Amino acid sequence: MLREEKRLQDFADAGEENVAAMLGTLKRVDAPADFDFRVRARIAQGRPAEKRVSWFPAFARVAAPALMLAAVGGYFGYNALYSTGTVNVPVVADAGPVAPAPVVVATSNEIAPAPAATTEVAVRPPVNTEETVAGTPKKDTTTVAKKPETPEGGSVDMALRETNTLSTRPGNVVNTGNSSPVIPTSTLSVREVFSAMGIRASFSGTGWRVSSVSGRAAAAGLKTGDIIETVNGRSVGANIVFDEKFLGSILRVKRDGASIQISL
Amino acid sequence: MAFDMAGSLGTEAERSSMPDEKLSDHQLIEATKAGDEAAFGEIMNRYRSPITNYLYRFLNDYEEAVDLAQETFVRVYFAIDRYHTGFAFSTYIYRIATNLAISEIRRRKRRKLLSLTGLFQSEDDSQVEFQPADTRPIADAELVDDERSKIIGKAIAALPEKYRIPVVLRDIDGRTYEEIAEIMQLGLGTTKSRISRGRGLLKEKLQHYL
Repeated sequence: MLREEKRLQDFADAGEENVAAMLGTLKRVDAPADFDFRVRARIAQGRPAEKRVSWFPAFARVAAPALMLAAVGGYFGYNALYSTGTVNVPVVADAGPVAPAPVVVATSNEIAPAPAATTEVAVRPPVNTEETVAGTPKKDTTTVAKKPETPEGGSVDMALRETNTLSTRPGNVVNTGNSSPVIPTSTLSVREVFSAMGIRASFSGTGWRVSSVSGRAAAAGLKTGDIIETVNGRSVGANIVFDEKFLGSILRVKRDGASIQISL
Repeated sequence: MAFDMAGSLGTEAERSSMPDEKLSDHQLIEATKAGDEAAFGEIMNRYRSPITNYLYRFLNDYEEAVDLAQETFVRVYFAIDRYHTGFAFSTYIYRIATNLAISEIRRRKRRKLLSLTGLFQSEDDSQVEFQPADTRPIADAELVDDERSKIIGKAIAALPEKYRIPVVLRDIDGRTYEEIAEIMQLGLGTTKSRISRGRGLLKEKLQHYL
């Protein structure tokens, strides 16, 4: 055993002898002359008090976990409130007071089977406002919208947006997400506006081509074959609608390649 | 146990007939426990310079080394009743000094971490070499020795604690492997391998001076 230890010791020393020798040559420092006096002075002062520990490490020990906890809690709390992973949450939208002949509009894929609160749901064709299926005036037109099932689910914000699209308040254009907007009875379609002016027209891509004209439109100079581009400065697309208070008076039409303005 | 600042510690009757310098460490401890303050003075006389030198080489800072050496004796004094003579006093006092030095190094690290000035302070600035005042003309050889000593001191101070302690104890203080193993509370094999590893690291750093 002793031989083994000696061998180990020799091994440890081997190769580093120069280092050991060099360290051995370092000057030794001595304690100062007043060393004993100072030790006795300290002893006379009494038992050494623990050095004051800074408040910072203790604060950091508490603050770091607290911050982490707050961060994690905040993350989950935020997600719980504004999660986009919530799916199929039925949202009851208050449609508010309803006009005597209310129309509850929806496309076929956006209206869920009506729960008990929903009295009736009418599906309305895109443009023809007279063809509402609503039979009798409803006192309670609360609608229940079910969000389409999407992979990303839904959120409170999305649900609120859904209710906006189903609003039946007068004057609002209902956009069901399809290409054809649905016009509540309180608005006028472009055909209705033209009809009031004595114009029959069909949409031709860039404007409304006049097929026949009578009344004040004819008196103002509008002719068959003209293409109506704007009404009161608004471009008239295929699905444009006007407020029921509309009083159309200025048309810009294209005739023989030139744009002219006609006041009714 | 009040301490006489003038050094007239205890009464003559309480002292052993044997001179203090001939008593063993354990006898001096027992005498100190019995109230013989002169015996504690002899303990200080025996260990103050070795402990100061050890701490100086460990910390590479003379003022701090002296302060911690004094603190070591203060702790020995106040804990003397708890000291058991089952193992060497030298091991006991070196262990206290080592623990204080390790605490000091960790405190320095914390200070350096928190100190804004530490961000802009180089390692060289923070390591102040003790240079006693000397009015003699400086010889070239002494200048070279001082520079060499400074570099070796920095190399030692740059060693990781686990290698620095045994290397200093072995190669500078001349402690045996067994003593070092006891001071560090490690096995003999581990102690030897750490010394070997520490020397190897020093050899790499100081190869130009070997």
